[in-house]
Amino acid sequence: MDIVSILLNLLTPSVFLVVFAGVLVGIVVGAIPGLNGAIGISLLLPLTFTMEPQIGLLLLGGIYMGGMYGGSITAILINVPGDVVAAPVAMEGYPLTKQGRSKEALYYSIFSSMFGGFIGVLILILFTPPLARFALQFGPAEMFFVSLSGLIIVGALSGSILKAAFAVLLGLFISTVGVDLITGSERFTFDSIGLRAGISVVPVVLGLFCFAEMFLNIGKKPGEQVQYRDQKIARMTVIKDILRQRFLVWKSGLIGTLVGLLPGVGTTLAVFMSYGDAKRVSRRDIPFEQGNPDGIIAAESANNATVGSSMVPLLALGVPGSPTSAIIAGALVIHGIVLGPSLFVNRPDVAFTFLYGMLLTVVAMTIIGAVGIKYFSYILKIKMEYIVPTVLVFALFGAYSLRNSLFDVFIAIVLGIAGAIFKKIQVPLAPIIIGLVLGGLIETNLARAMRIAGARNMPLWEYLLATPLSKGLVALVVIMLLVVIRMRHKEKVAAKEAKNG
Amino acid sequence: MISNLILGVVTLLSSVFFYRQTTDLPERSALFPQFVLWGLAIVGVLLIFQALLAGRKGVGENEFEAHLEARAKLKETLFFQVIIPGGLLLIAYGLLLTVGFYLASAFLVFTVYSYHTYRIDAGNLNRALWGRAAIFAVVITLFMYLIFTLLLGLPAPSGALF
Repeated sequence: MDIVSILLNLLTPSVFLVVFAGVLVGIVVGAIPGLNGAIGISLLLPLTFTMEPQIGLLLLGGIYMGGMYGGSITAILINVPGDVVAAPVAMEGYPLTKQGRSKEALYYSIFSSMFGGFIGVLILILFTPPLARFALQFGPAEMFFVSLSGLIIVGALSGSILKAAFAVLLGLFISTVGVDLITGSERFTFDSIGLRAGISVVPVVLGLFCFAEMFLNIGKKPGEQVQYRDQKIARMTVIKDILRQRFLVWKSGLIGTLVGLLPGVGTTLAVFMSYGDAKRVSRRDIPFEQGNPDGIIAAESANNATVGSSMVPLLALGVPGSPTSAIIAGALVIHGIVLGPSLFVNRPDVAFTFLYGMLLTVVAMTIIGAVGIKYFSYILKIKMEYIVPTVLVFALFGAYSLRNSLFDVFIAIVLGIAGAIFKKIQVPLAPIIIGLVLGGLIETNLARAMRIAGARNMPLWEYLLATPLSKGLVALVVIMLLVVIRMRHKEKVAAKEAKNG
Repeated sequence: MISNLILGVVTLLSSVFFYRQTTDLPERSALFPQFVLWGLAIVGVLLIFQALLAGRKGVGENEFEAHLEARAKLKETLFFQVIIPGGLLLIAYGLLLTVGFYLASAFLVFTVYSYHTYRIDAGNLNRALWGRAAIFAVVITLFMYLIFTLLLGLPAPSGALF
């Protein structure tokens, strides 16, 4: 698909409207403590059913991008991060607010998000099509290893290893419920018509993320708001300062990009790694946790860089890089679009419009973020008693609307109850979603590999490791695993050191 | 770590229960679920061991009170923030089956709004609150009807009565 057709697809009022609306919703949702981009996407999912797939995708992409930035607003203004990811921004941004420099902190946040967002989206544009072309050569053995690698990395990085393993296996188990498409036999359906169709990703995400999150928000009091006299500052002053720290921006952006590429790892690791690195290399005289802008620059650049890069494995391989991208994958099912290498062959219009359209989401985020600063304090006035019931009823509708199934609503409610319990006992929820999405891929490719190995009269493992490509993938997974375990160890050491002052 | 012990036991028992369901399946359909259920059973056993080992180590005198406090808080959270809202959602689901989505939504918004305000301060529960909750429930329901049914034409779940 040539660039002119892509631009013609993109430069329409409806695309602009959808992108700006998506980013705005994302910023508002991200700024409200207890909500995040994933919840925003789940709630607006039904709206995309009547849109063209590429426009619907851009709406969701806009929410994802805006949501990543939105979390920093409450972190800076009232020291309440909208999400864990925004905690480092709170550590540096709130002290600036107390000094009467909240506007400056918000400018640092939005312009660093912009640079990070661009880095992530550029990687998305440059790497996804070649990776998808390369992935077209993948056979069952290679796809099996790619899907398995996602699970292994998720398991290795999500809190307690045992609980992460439980979560991954639970996700895999949920993926086996329903009619087995290969043999036609029913698995764990207990003669229920609803279970025969299997359990789809969207009600699981709505249950585990929306319902569970809202349950735990019930009874939460609003954060205390104190007004500080704010000093005036020009946007260009902040942009020039960020450009002086371009090495930090690039480094943090690349950390965010690399971590975002790993399926299921999430943004938190990227943000804390970049923040820790900024702490180490910052040349400013201002101590950290007392309003050092380098902390905001690093955290926000990494944060928004993960948005683009986490979509790379989803679009190129059909493997979601985060729960948010898993929901996006679920939304596309209703349009009959299958993500993965074939997307660029079968629906290049959708794939390329989305890739380049993500640049628009960064532009929209920057404009809304830079212009809307004076209005952000209004977001803080929205009370939780209005948010919780609204999110619950929208989520009920979202769970129903994907397949017009009341059974999906029931599944979402049951998993909401389970998800709230899991959260309280520190079982990570993201690996459940990744396990559910990857379960089908792993099983299908394993079955194909077994059939081919049987036909060639060779042991399964020999077939799985027969090609240099599959051997290379195994080696890559082992290397990635070692690198992320080392990164995580370093992160733990840094956290311990920070705790000990 | 009583929660780990319970999670381990439930995981182990569930995996045994579901494994038994796979024995009648064709070999090809049973293979992957059996593999996963073996994994779950092993994780269940390890969680139980971990909890028992932690129990044998015991809790230091200084940590004992904090430990009790955390356990009481967990119980309170489970009751007020999981069982009650979960129950409200299940009631709303029952209403969804009988009176359809919009009336069930109005019920859910009204009850959750009131319950949230009650949880912040029980003294808030008065006639003014009921009024605010009712108005908010009507506004949200109308808003959803406008967006989903009138504007987008998406089908909303209908119940046995409406």
